[in-house]
Amino acid sequence: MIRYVVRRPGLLIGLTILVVLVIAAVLAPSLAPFPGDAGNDTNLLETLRRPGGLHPMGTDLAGRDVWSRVLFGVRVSVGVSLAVIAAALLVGIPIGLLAGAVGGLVDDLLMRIVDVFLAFPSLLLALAIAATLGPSMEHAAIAIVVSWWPWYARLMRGEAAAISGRAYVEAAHLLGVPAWRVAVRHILPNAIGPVIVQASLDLGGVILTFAALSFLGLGAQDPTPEWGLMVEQGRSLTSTQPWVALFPGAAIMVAALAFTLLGEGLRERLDPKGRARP
Amino acid sequence: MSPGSPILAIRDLAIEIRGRRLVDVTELSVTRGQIVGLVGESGAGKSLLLSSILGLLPADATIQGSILFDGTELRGAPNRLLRDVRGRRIAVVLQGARAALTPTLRTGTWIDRALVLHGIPAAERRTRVAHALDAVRLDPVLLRRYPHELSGGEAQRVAIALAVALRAELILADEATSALDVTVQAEVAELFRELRQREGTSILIVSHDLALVAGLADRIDIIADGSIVERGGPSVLSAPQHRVTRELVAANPTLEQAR
Repeated sequence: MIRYVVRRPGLLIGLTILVVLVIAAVLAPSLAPFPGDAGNDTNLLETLRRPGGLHPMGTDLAGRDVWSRVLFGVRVSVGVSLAVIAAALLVGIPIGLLAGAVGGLVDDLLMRIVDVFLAFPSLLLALAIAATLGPSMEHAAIAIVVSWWPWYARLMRGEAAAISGRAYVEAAHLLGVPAWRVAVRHILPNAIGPVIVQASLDLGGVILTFAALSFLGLGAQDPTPEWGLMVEQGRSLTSTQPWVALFPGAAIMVAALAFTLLGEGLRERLDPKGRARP
Repeated sequence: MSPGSPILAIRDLAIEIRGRRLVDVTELSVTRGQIVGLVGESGAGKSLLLSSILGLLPADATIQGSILFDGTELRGAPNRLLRDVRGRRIAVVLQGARAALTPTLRTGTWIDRALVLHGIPAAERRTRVAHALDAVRLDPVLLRRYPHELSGGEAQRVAIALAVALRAELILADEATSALDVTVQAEVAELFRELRQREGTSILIVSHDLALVAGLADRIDIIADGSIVERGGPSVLSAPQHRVTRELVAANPTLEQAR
């Protein structure tokens, strides 16, 4: 397994960044020089300091240490994105499995509902929902889940429908296994690979979407150290004090890149087409 | 339960899908301990006939007639009764061998779960599996393997071992040897013969392979366009009456020579 990872530089880089992010998230309170700056603290005598000395990434308009806020931002941005993906999978997988395994009228009905959601570009749909619910981090997360689950439902449905025709599924029915158990034990484990791959590829996208909502004022609210929000707060200063927006922006990019690399690596491992027959 | 009584008796069975009559069998029966071959070209309705026995026809199929299994009517039987019959009393061995085993389950898990499903207690599961492995001459080590780690013949024996462990009274073998190479085909055929001998299992072999069936079956029914067109002992092949039988015999060089 270790050799497998080392031979794939993309996967290795992705995993390394992920480990660094996890460590950063867990140890943020002790790693950050000014943990209070990720919360309600402000320091109006220290506004917009250049990077260096006590503030390796400088300070923002409220005199808060950008490095501390970027560190705590891992918890917010990556944490929320993981939760959003998990929730979207929890909704999408059962619906897709039901549609693909049962077929017929149930399939038609569920997939038409999915089509309605997919008819809108997902960022636009998320924006509309977030705007309707009102600006807050929770509402932004809900908005992304609502616009995202149909993709998993549709992917899961396709995989489940394909697996339903396999001989071992027929064999399970012929053995008297109840239909729901055939779906859960014989179809699901063999159909879920591509969905997991897609989900890990999407993590980067969700981080970006969440940042975009925050950037537009519909996501996290000050003083939450959310990366997208931090970029928004430094937007007007890019020509004079670029560090305020630059570092959180770089963090978004690095995290999104890590999950994309991980997803690509997983795809190679899990996709039936990419898997070498042992 | 006496030998000689029919375990499976099909009467006036008609199956239609979207108005097309695909199966029309007046009479087909398997006596206890008998091996019957049902031979026909692909598309003759063999698989549909098997599915109908276990109540697993496609949703758009309509069915008429009677399917008596050990005196119980299976056609239109409640799902609970059918689920109990499936696997436990009537086992199906499919063509795919490896493809018929769930790839994410170790073969031992696959067998064990089927036994659990049919309510067999843990202690008895162990003795039954040991006996079944012995009956199909399968190394217990293979129970820890995944299907892709087995050869086609091993996978087919795993499927047959499950039928033995469940003490199925009737095995429906749906082209069970077609995907295997010739020596392995002979092994599986030998296994069927032994099962009949030792366990008294009745077997309905569905196949397009006349040579295999001729060497194994007590009686052969030839099916064409959903109906049985010719019937008799293995000798039916040496003097075929029906056009389809003649074609099947002619298509099989070894049989042709044997005549």
